[in-house]
Amino acid sequence: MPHLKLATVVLPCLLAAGLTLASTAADVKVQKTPTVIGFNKDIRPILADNCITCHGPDSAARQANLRLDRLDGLVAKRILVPGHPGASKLMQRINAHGVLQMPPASSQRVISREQKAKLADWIRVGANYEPHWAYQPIQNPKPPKVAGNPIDVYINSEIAKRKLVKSVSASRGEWLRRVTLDLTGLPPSDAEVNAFVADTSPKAKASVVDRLLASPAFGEHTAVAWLDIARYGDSYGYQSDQLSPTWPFRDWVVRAFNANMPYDQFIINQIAGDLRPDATVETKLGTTFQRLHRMTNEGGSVAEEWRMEGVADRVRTTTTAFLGLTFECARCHDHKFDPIKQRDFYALASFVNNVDEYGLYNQSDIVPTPSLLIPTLEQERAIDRAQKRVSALEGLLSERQIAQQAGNRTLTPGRPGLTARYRLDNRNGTSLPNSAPGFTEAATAPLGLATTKGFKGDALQLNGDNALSLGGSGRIARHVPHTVGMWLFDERVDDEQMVVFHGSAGTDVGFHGGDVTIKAGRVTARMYRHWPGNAIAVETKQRIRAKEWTHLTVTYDGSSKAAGYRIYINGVPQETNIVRDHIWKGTGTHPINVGERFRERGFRGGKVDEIEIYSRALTASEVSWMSRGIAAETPRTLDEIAPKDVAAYLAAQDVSLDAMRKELQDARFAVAAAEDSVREVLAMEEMPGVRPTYVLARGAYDAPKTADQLVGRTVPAFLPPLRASKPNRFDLAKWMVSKENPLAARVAVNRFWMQLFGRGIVETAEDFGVQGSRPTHPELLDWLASDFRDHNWDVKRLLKMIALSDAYGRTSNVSKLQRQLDPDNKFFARGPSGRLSAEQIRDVALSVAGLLDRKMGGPPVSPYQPGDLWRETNSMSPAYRESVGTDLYRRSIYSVWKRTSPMVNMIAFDAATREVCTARRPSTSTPLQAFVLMNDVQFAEAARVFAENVLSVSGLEGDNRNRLNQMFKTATGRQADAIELKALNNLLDDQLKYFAGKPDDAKLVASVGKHPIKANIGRDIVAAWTMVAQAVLNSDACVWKR
Amino acid sequence: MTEFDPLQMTRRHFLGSASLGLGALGLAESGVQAAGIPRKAAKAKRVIYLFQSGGPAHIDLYDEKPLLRKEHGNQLPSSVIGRQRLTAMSGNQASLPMAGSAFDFADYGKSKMRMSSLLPNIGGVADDICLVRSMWTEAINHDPAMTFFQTGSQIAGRPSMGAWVGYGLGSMNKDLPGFVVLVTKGQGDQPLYARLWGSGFLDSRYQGVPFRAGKDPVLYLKNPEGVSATSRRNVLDTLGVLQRQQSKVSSDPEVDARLAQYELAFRMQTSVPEVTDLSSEPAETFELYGEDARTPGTFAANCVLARRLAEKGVRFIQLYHQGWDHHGDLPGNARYQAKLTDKASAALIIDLKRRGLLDDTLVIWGGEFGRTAYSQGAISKDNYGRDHHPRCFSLWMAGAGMKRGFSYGRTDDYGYNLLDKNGNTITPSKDKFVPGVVHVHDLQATILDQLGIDHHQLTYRNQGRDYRLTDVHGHVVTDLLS
Repeated sequence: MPHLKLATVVLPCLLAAGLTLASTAADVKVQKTPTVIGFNKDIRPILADNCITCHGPDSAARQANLRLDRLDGLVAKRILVPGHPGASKLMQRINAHGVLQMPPASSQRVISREQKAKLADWIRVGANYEPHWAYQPIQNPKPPKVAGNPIDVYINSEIAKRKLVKSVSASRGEWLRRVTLDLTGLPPSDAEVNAFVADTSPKAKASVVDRLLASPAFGEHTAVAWLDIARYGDSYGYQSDQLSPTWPFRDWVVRAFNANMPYDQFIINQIAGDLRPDATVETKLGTTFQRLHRMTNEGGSVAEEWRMEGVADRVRTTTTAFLGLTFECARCHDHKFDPIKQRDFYALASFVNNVDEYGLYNQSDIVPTPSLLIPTLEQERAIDRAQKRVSALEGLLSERQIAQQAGNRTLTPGRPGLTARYRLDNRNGTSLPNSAPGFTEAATAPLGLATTKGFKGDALQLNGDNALSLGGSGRIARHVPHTVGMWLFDERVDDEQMVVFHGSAGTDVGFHGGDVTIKAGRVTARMYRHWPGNAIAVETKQRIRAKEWTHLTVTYDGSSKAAGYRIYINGVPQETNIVRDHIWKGTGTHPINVGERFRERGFRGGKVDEIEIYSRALTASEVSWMSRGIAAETPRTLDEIAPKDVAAYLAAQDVSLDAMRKELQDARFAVAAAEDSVREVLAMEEMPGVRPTYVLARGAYDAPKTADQLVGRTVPAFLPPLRASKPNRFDLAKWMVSKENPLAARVAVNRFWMQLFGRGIVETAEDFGVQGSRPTHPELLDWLASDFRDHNWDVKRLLKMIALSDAYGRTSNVSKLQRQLDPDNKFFARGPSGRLSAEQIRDVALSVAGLLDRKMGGPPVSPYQPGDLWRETNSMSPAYRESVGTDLYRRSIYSVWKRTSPMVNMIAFDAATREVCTARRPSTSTPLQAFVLMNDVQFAEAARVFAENVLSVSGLEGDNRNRLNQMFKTATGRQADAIELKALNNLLDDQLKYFAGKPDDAKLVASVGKHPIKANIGRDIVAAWTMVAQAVLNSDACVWKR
Repeated sequence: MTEFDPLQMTRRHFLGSASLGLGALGLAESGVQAAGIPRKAAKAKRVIYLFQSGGPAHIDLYDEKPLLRKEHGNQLPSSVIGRQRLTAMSGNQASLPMAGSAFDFADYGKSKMRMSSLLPNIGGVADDICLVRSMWTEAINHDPAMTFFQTGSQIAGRPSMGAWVGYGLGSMNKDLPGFVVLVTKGQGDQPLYARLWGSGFLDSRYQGVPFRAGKDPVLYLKNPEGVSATSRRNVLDTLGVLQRQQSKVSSDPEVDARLAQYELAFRMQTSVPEVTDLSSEPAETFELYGEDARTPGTFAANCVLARRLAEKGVRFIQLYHQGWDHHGDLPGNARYQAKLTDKASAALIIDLKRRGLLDDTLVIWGGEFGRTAYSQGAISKDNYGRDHHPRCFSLWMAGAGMKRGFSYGRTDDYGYNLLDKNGNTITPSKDKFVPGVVHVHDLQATILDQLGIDHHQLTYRNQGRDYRLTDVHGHVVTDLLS
């Protein structure tokens, strides 16, 4: 049996068979070059496009039990007979007609003649199979020992192979502008240009690169592409699209690049910065990356559906960001092209599925859990002080209570703190009287709630859709102690959770406050700001009986601890499980409603009677009396009180302690208030245990979850194994950056290459899989990747090396031959060029105009927009509030990013919407771009201020030509040539004449925008120069990198 | 791309046309697909999509259910709901009382199409429309449902239908965008998102351009105050000199391509205000569409504008009318929205027809889902609300290639489930095409088909996969075609 060789074979020019190109000298040269048919380069793409959908990795779609993505087993079946295309079934079938034809006509896929010829040739010379390059270990090639930048060694060898001619070096000015734009996103200043042009030392370029990498603008610029990948936005991204305070993550990315955080740490922190043994707030902040998927608060949404949507997005984004793989397909089925199983998708999901989250958010100012608090030092101290005060008061009260026991033992019968007693008898229309002495606040029952025979006298028959409102007679809040007791009759219509009473606000997508629910007889009492992560809750172990009058009391001591809750059934304290026990920030303070909550399942079919509310947590003895209907005047002697309750009871009776109790309540409120001011951001925080994760058929959240579908935490089998016994996210992160992982370093260096060259060595930076582009320079890619890894993943070092390469420094002017042979400059025989990004275009205009405010970081700013575009088609959206002053001129990375209504003047220039992970932006030319650059007040104002500044340069009085020169050079970094200068001069003359006769128009043009005008210059002159500035700012020399 | 479109001038096209042959070597090698999508005979040249956002209630507009009226207030049998999910808005309601429509239905036209008295004008063009009563979708909330309808996926990041059509067919005019979006002004209700007319992973040149009511119909269209057209012309001429100089030095075709965009923008500064200015319309236009049409930004005005854009060769004209999300007080709310939309919708059909445009213009009227047979919230004798209902709803099309005076598909007596041709309740699946029911992907496939595009072949490779508007689903519903 013939063996498949893992070698490439040199063929004479068989490739030419199908080429029908015009014959030129260049073409002939190409054709004469011996051609190597490589499986990955030539064959795999043909199979992938035409065969793999049905004969590939997707086991569910696989036909005839045949896989053409793995050729090892095929020889035996004579699908392939190496050396003999005619005997190979593969060729027979693709050449067949009718029913035997492959791919079948119905697939609408056609293998071209050229492709068939290639396949035949490949089989003829031995059908060598190569595994997909990207899944192979990174080779550790030693660069040939030649002087100079190793990058150039690889590039030059490829250029020579292709008979391309290298372009000359760019001018010093061009290079400086290019490298400054690529590393900082900003143009060089006049002074920087002059200094560099004058610096003849051999280290001049290196010191420029060092200066740029050290500039804070480096991090700001480099962060933009990463924020596209992280799908970073300042809003949640669905429907009402409320603002989400995620900007600390944006600043984290900027800081990481500026501090030259080793890239492996950059990766680790964003996957599992919370789980590292040395975790800090700063490393945890990296995990916000995992939470930037969009979230909805649309009414009626099913939380679990959206939670899984978020988890899937984490998998998608993590795999694109760090592995360059397209896992998305595998959410619903095995990948059609890459060996990614559907199980692999969910196995990765199980790593990021273990946080205490709810699938929905409620309102902008309540951050969905898990979250990270980022207090300032001052806030930290304030919280600490507030907490100490609470502890001190608690201690003091406890002391007093003990003193009570020993001291004053006189008894005033009664249960202090009663604020409401609703017997629910004597109903008057909708009103139900309050018989608590000294309190008059009536309860209100809509007419839809009927009165029925109760435990004692009348009761209220609940329907689940209407609430009995207890008005202000009780208050539910994190810091407020209370007791609510009642007789209830649980009709137990089903085993779903029903709301018995609550004091909370919100909608079906999220409430905050407190509630008591019953589910299949188990009673749960909760207090929360965001369920389930930011909450305290306990649940009874015992069930109450269905269809039987039962007395239920819930007491809460205001301590913000689960232990502060007690649940009593028929006066007996219940054993409870603690469900959640961590709450922070305020819950709001809410009145009590019984039997219903907005769009939730109310206490349908149930009845309630004899409701009592207290402004403190009653002792067990008191609850017992209440449940037994023992008169409120009890006890008459201390013997009637359980010994353990005596002190608390006496203390409760002691009005002299009221002030201290109030002080404690205020102090507890102060803790929440101090916490409220602290910045809070979405982040990852592991839950105890492992949430089971299942393969979901078709990716549907409600697909059946069977034991078969349960997945463990593993990584795909075609990648190196993850060696950890019970792996968690941190293990995944370490695996990601392990030496064995062939992808992370390659994907990373390819992106940084792209930052400078405009295109990656692998063009499809987002897809290193079978369907992605092959590397143009595989050895260079591997050398860069291994070198990067071996040098501590040093990003600045890598960028410096690329920036100082000859290849990067060539002129981008293209020769005819280059355009013929390599129109896309894949082989870097000329320097990179391209339109500046949306952010750069705005930042350059502001910078040139002298308007750019270099303040870094902080909450997003809102530059000019034509009206409130946020609310124009979304009345649920918050309003757009334009910034004032210098915030109109911050770098574009700081502009507020509303994902359903992103900045129009940025989107026009292909900015990503940031709704999903985007690894590469297209670059287009459209008329809308002309509108933005000419008419958007941001750019019109920049032209105006630019004109004023140029007119204010001293020493150039009366010298228009030199001023024009100055303007052109500031904007483009180079001198205008004679033709350009003449054109600008003509324009200036025309416009000076024109505006001299149009003073009103001149005034309008010369005052556009909010930046103060320079009143000492004639408005007609400013207007004319503004027109010239517009021509310059719109020119290729300004908007393009050359 | 068979028709030349200056809006779509890019590096790729430039190289493809200007340096054909030699350039093609590079193109083929870099794996760039040929720009042309295979085309077949097209019945429709353009689309006007009157999207009724919020979810119009089929039971009150197009799908009469006498049984609900008879059973008004009684609990909807749970057997009707089966295992279908409800939204979290009404899913916890203690009771789900059936709500009969407050509106009378009547036969309209020679075809005796059964429609609600709320829509007498649409009823008046019944013989021109093709009414589908058996639409269904997968999403149950607005945002995902809208996104699904307009982009073929509930997940963001995919191109919208108009962007796909532009990518497949190009534009038909030199001075206007090929994909224009018109939104009824000031309606509130459920939001619209940029992604609904976005270009997703396609280039931004395919995204829809919103034309807004008011003095700046396209954002940034107008010169800054004080800048005259002459000054702008002078600036552009100067820019032309600068660009040509750059082009000489760098030999980069993109420089010229960019200049062409500036010239197009300059022309649009005239063409857009011209086309959006309805003042030249004769009085009878406003008689036909209603006096509302005189107020810019109304649905009626947008319908007139849609016709004008169609005349100018705009390929995809996407209207949005928000306001159909009637969870409560449906009768009052539906009456109001019908008043805003009925007359102009019908007028558009009449107007296109008399101008001979209806033969090659496909008009679509419908929302993202239907509404429940039961009342959400309180029900009274003559008032009720309805929650979202994805399982069945109605939508109509008219013009190019569609049957006229034709009603298609059936729902059960509750307007809750789809029925097959034999009247049996079916649980539809997008994997299995059942004649008689129309999934969103089927609708999309049918629209593309009428435009002369096989929905299987309208693909774009992104992240290693050939994406389609119809994902891996969709069937052309030939029953609807004339």
